[in-house]
Amino acid sequence: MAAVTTRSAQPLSRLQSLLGPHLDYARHGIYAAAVVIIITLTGVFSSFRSGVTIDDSVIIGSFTLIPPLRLTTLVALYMIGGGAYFAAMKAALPASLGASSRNSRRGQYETATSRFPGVAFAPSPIARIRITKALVASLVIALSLVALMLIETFIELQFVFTGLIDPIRDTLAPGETLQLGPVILFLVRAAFIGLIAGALASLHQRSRNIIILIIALLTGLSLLSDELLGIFALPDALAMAASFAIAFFVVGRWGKPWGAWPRVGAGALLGLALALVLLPLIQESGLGPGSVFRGAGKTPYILSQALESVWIYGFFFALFGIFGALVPATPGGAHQSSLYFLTGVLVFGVLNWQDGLTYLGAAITSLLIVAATIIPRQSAPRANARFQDLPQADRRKTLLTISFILFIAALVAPVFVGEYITFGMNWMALFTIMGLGLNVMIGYAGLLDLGYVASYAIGAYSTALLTTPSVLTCGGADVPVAECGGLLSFWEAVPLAVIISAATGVALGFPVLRLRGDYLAIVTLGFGEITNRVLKSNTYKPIFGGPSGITPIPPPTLDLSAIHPDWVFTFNGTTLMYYLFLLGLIITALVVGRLAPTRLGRAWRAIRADEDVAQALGIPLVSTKLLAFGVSSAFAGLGGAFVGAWFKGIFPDTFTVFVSINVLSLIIIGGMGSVVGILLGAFMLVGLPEVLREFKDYRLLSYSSLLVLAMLLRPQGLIPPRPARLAAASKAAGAAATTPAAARGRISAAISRAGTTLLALLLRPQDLFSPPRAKPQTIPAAGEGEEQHRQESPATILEIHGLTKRFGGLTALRDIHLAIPHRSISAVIGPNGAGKTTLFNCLNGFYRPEEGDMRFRGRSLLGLRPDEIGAFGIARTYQNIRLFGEMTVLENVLVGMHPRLQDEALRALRRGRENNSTEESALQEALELLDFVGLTGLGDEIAQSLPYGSQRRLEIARALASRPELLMLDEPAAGMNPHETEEMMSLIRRLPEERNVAVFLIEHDMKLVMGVSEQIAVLDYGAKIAEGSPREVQRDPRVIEAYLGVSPDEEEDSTAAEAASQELDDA
Amino acid sequence: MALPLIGQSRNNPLTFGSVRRYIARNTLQIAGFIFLAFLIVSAIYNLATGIARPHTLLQNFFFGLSTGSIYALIALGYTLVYGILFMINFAHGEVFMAGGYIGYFAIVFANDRGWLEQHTVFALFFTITIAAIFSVLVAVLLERIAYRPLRGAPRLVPLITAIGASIALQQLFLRLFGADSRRYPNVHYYIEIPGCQVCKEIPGGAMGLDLVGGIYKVSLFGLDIRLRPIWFIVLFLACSLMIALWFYIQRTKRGKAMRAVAEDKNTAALMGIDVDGIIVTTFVLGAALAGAAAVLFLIIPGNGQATPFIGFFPGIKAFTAAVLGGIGNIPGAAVGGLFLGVIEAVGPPLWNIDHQLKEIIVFGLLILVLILRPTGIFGEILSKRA
Repeated sequence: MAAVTTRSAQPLSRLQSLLGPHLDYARHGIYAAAVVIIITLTGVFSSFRSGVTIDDSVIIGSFTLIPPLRLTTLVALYMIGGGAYFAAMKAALPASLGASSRNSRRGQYETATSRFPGVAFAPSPIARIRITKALVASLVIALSLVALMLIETFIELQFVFTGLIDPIRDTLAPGETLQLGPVILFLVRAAFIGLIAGALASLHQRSRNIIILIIALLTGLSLLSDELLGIFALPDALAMAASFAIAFFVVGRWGKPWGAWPRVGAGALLGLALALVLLPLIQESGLGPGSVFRGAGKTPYILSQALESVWIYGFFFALFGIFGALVPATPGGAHQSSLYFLTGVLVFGVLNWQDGLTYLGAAITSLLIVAATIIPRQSAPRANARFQDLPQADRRKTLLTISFILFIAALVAPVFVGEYITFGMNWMALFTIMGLGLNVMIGYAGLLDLGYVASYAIGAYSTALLTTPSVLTCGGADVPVAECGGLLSFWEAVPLAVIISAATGVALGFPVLRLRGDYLAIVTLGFGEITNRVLKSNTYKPIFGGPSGITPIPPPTLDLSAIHPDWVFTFNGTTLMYYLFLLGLIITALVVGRLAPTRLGRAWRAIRADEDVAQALGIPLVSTKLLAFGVSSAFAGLGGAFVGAWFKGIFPDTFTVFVSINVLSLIIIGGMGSVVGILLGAFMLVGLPEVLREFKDYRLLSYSSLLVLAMLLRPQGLIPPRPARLAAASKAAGAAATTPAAARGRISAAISRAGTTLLALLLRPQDLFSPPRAKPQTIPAAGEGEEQHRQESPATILEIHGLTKRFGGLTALRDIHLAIPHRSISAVIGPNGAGKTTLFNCLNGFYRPEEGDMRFRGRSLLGLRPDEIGAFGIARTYQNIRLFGEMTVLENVLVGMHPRLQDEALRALRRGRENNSTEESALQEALELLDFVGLTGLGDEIAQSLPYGSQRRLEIARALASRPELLMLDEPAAGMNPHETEEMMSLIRRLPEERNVAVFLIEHDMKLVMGVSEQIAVLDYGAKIAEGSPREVQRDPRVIEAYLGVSPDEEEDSTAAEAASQELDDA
Repeated sequence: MALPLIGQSRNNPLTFGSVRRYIARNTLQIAGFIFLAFLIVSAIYNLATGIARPHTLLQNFFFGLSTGSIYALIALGYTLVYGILFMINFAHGEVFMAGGYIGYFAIVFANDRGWLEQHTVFALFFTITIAAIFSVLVAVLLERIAYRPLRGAPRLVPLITAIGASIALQQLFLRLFGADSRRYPNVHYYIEIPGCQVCKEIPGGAMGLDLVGGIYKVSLFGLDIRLRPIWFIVLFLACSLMIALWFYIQRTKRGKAMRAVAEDKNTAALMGIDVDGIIVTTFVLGAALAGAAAVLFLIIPGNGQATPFIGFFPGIKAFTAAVLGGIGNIPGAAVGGLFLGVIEAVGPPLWNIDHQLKEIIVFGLLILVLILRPTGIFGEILSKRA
C-alpha cells in the first residue's frame, strides 16, 4: 500500500517541497475561499440586500466612525472571518509545540502565564502561527472574491448563476465600475478581519466560547430586533431583575437550614415587599414606561398593567422573588439556565429602551452575557452542592416549583412576545413533538425511519376527513359545506387520528421489520413518497382532494359556557393554538421521558445496541420494534392533527420528504435521546428559521449542511443524553420509598395521566379497565412455576439427542448426544473449529439444527425463537464480549431481567419511575447481582468503560438476571491473566449452589476447565469424541490425538502420551 | 427461496401443528406470495378482458427498456459503492442530477456554436463527456469530504451523512442555478435510409430517420405502435457502457484490485493495494456512468428538463433496481434496472393504475423483493449477520 501511495503522491509532494511550508499556510485558506466563492455565487448578497441589522452609527463630530451594519456586510464579515478562523484552528502546530498539546488540549495553555485565568492567550509561538494563518486565509478569500469581481465585469455570469442579480461589487467594493481604491480598502478590511479571527482562535477555549456565543446572540438579536423590542420595557426588566436579585442574595445566603417551602415563602415575601416599595414610586413619580427611560411604548408592560391590576403586578414580583430564592440551591444546569433567562429579560429591556439594537445596546448585551457566563462558574457548583445537601423531598419540591414557574412563563409567553414570534414557537413545538416521536424510533430503537412524514400526513388527513363534511355525513361532495358538518368534533377526532396514525405505523412497520439500517431507511422513504403521491393523485381526489387538499377545516372550539357564559374559545389564531401545541408538547415530553427508563425503553435501546443479544435475553424483536413504530407514529399523528387545525386546511405539498429530513436533522443536531437536546434542535432548525424571514431560501441548504457537519464533527449532537444514574438514586431512595405517591405534583400527574390514557387506549386497552394488580413482592423467575418444577423434574435439565447442524457441505455438528444435570458444572472442550460455539448457537436458537432434538426441562427447544428460549430459562455469554456498551452497568443487568418483569410501561407513565415498586425491586435485585459478581459500586458506570475482566463479569450478571436454569458461558476466561482466571473459577463454582443454575461452559483454559467441571465433553470436527470426568477425559487417547494430532497408539514412546496429558493439564 | 419447506427433514414432519406454526412464523412471506399471485392473476385477467391493451403494453415495453437502461447505469453506481463500502451512497441521485445540469450548460454551449446542428454526434459526445467529468468531480468531493472521515463509523452514521449531502447538493444547485427548469434544446440527427417504409421526409427531401428527435409508426406483431429511435440508441449506449465496465472490472489490474478490496479491505491493503485509491476509483466509475446516464435521460424528448430535483426519483428507483438484482452484483444491477424500467412502464396499463401512481409499483416491488428474496434476483453476497 505504501509503495502505491508514494508513487501516486509524488508530483504533489514535489510541488509541496517546492512551495515549502508556504502552501500549508494557504491550504485551508484556499478551501475556505472555495466555499466562500460557492456561497457568493448562490447570490447571498442579492438575497440579503435589503436587510439592515444594526440601524445605528457611531458619529464623532462629522466623521462617521462606524456606519450602520447592513446584512450583506455582516454576511461578508462572517464569510471572511469564519474562513480565517477555520484556517487558524486547523493550523498544524510545529512538532516542538504540538507534541504535548496533541494529547491534551489544555496542555498548550498551561505554559501561559496570565493574571486572569480564562483570558490567557495561547503561548506566543502558537498564537503567531494561528494569526499568520488567519491573515493569509483572509487575504486568499478576499483575493478570490476580487478575482470573482473581475470575472463578473467581463463575463455575464447571470446566465448560469441566476441568483447573482446585483453585481458582487456592489457590496464589497462599491462603485460604478471596479476601481482600485475600493478594492484596496476591501483587502485592508479583510486583512483586519483575518487578524481578529486569528486572535480569537488564539484565545483560551473558554473565552473563545464566550465571544462566539456573544457574536451568535448579537446576530440573532439584530436580525430579530423588530420583533423582540416589544417584549419588555426596561423598567419592567429592571424591576423583575431586582426582585430576583434581592431574593437571590438574601435567601440564597442562608444555605442549609432552609427547606424548599420556606425559601419559596421568603422569596415571595421579598418580591411582594419590593413591589410595595415600588408601587407608590410608579404611581406618584410616574416611573412607568416611556417616562424616565426612553420606552418604546409598545404593549404589554407589567408595570402599566399593574396600575390597573395590582394583583398581576404583585404576582409577577412574587414569582421572580421565588425564582431568585430557589436558584441558589438548584442543579448546576438549572442554575446556569436561570441566569441566562434573567439576562435575556434584561437584554430585551435594553432592546426596548434603545428601540432596536444599537451599538450601545450591543455593548451592554455583550457585558451581560459575559457576566451570565462567568458568574455561574463559581456559583453553579456551590448551588449544586447545596441542592445535593437538601433532603429528597425538598429537592423534589424545588424542581417542582421551578417547573411551575417555567410553566407560568410558557403560559404568558405569547402575550409578551407577540403573534409573530408565537408563530415560530408553534412550529417549534410541532416539530419538537414530532422529533420526540421520531426519537423513540431512531434514538431508542435505532430504526432509521425516513417515512415519518407518512404518519404526520395520516394524522392530518384523518383529522381533516373526520371534521369536515365527507361522504359519511353528507353522502357526496355536491352538498354545500354549510349544510353539513364533520363527523366528529376536533376533540373527538384527535384521539382517533392518533390511533389511526399509530395503527398505520404498525401496519407499515410490519413488512419492513426484518430490514436493517440502510434498507429500512430507503423503504420507509418510499412509504413517505407513496403517501404523498396518493394524497396528490387524481385517482383519490374525491377523498383526499388531490393537489388542493382539504379546506376548510373548522377550528377546534372549547365550549366552557357551563362554567362561564363567555367562555367559548375558538382556536382560530396563532396564539390560542399555541396553548394546544404547548399541551401536546408537555404530554409528549412526559410520555417519552418516562418511557426511557422502563422495561420497554431499555428493550429498545438493547435492540439498537445489539439485536441478537437482545433477542437471546428474551426480548421479542417483532413486538418491541412494532411498539416503537406505533408510539412514534402516534406522535406524528398528533402533530398532523394539530397542524390541520392550525392552518384550517391541509395540502399534500406540506407533506414531503423534507419534513422527515427536517425532523431527522433536528434530533441529530440537538442530541438523539435527550429531550432538552431535541428542544434545542427544534429551536435552532425550526423556530429560528421560521422567524428569520431573510434566510427562508437558505433554510434547507443550511439544515442539510449542518446534518453533514454534525455527523462529521459531533455525531452525538449538541446536548447528548446523560446516562441514568440509577444506582446512586436507588441508594438515596431508602427514605423516598416511604413517601406516598400523592406527594408528587398532582398537576403533572394529571397531565401525564391524560397522555397515558391516550397511549393506553392505543397499546393495551385492557390495562385501563382491569383493576390494578397487587404489588408483586418478588419478581417471578423466567420459567413459570419454577420451584414446583425443580422438585419434580428428573436429574437432567438438558438432553441433546443426535443433534446435527450443517452449513452447506460442512457438517459443523454431527450426531451429538449430551445430558446436563441440574445445578452441575459441565464443559465442552475441543480444538478451534470443533463446533463448540455452534452447539451453543443451536441451543439458544440462533441456528436451527437439521436433525436431532434438544429437550430442556422436558420440552423440545426445536423451532423456538431465541427470545422464547431466553425467556424459557437458558442464558448465555459470548466469546467476544457483547455488552450494550453505551448503557450503564446497571441497565445492562436490568435488560437481562426483561422476560421476568411485567410490562410496566403504562404504569410508569402514570407514576414515574420513583414510585414503581417493580422497578424498585428489580433495581435492588440488580444491585445484589452486581455484588455477587464483584462489581459493587460500579452500577452507574458506562458498560464499555469497564476493564476487560469486569466486562466478562458483567456479562455473567446480565445472563443471571433472567434467573436462568441453564447458563452457557462461552470462554469466560479468555484473555484473562492467571489471577483473574482464579477469581473467575471461584465465581463459576459458586453459581450452581447460590444461583440455582446449571453451568455449561466452553473454555480453552484447561486449568479452569479441569478445575471447575464435573463432567466434560470433547468435540472434534463436529463429533463428540469423549465424555466423562476431568480425569477420564485427560487420559482418553482420542482426546490427546485431537489436541496434539498424534495417536499414542502409533507413538511408541509412552512418555509422549504422558507429556500430552501433562500439556492438557497445563494448557 | 427464502421459505424453508415443510416436511423437508425429520425435524419438520408435516402435521397440523407444524403447518400452523409454519404459517405463524412465515406470515409475511406467505402474504407476499399471495400478493404476487394476485398481481399475476389480475395481470392475466386484464389482458384477457382487454382492459390492458396489447399495443400500449408493447409500446411501453420499448420505452421502459430505454428508461430501464438508464436506471441500470445509475444502479451500477449504487452497487459498485455498496460492494466495496457496504454503504448506500444516498447522494448518488444528486451526482446524476449534477451531470444533467452541467450537461445542459454544455449542450447550450454547443448549440450556440452551431455544433449541435453540424456535428451532432460530436456535440452529444462533448456534452456527455462534460457531464461525466462534472459528476465525477462531485462524487470525488463527496467521498473526500463526507464519507472518508466516517469510514469505520457505525453504519447509520454515513447513511445519515449521505442523506444530508444529498439534500445539500440539491439545495446548493437550486441556489446556484435557480429554480427554473432548464430544458435541453431539441436535437435532431437525420440519417438517410433509402427505401425505408416507416421513414418520413427529412430536410433535404430524402426519406430517412431522425435518430434523436423523431417518432415513427411501426407495425410489430400486427400491432401499430409508435417508437422513437433514440430509445434503442440509449439502450445500446447504456449496454455498451455496462459491458465496458464489466470488462474493466474483470480484465484490468485495477479491476482486480477493486474486487480484492470488495472482498476484504484489510487483506487487500496488506497485499499492497491502495485501498483509498480504489475506493475513489469506484466512486469515479459510478459517477461517470451516472453523468452519462443523465445526459442520455434528458436527451430523450419528453424528459428534457434539468431541475435540481431530477435526481431524487431516478436515484431511488435505481437503488431499487440494485436491490432487485442483488446489491453488490454488477450484472444484477443491469438486469434489475431494465426489469424495473419495463415494469414501471408496463405496470400502469397492465394493472390499470393511474400513471401518477407508478412509483407505487416501484416501491411495492422493492418491498415484495425484500420480503420474498432479500438477496435479490442474483444476489448471494448480501451480508447476513447471524
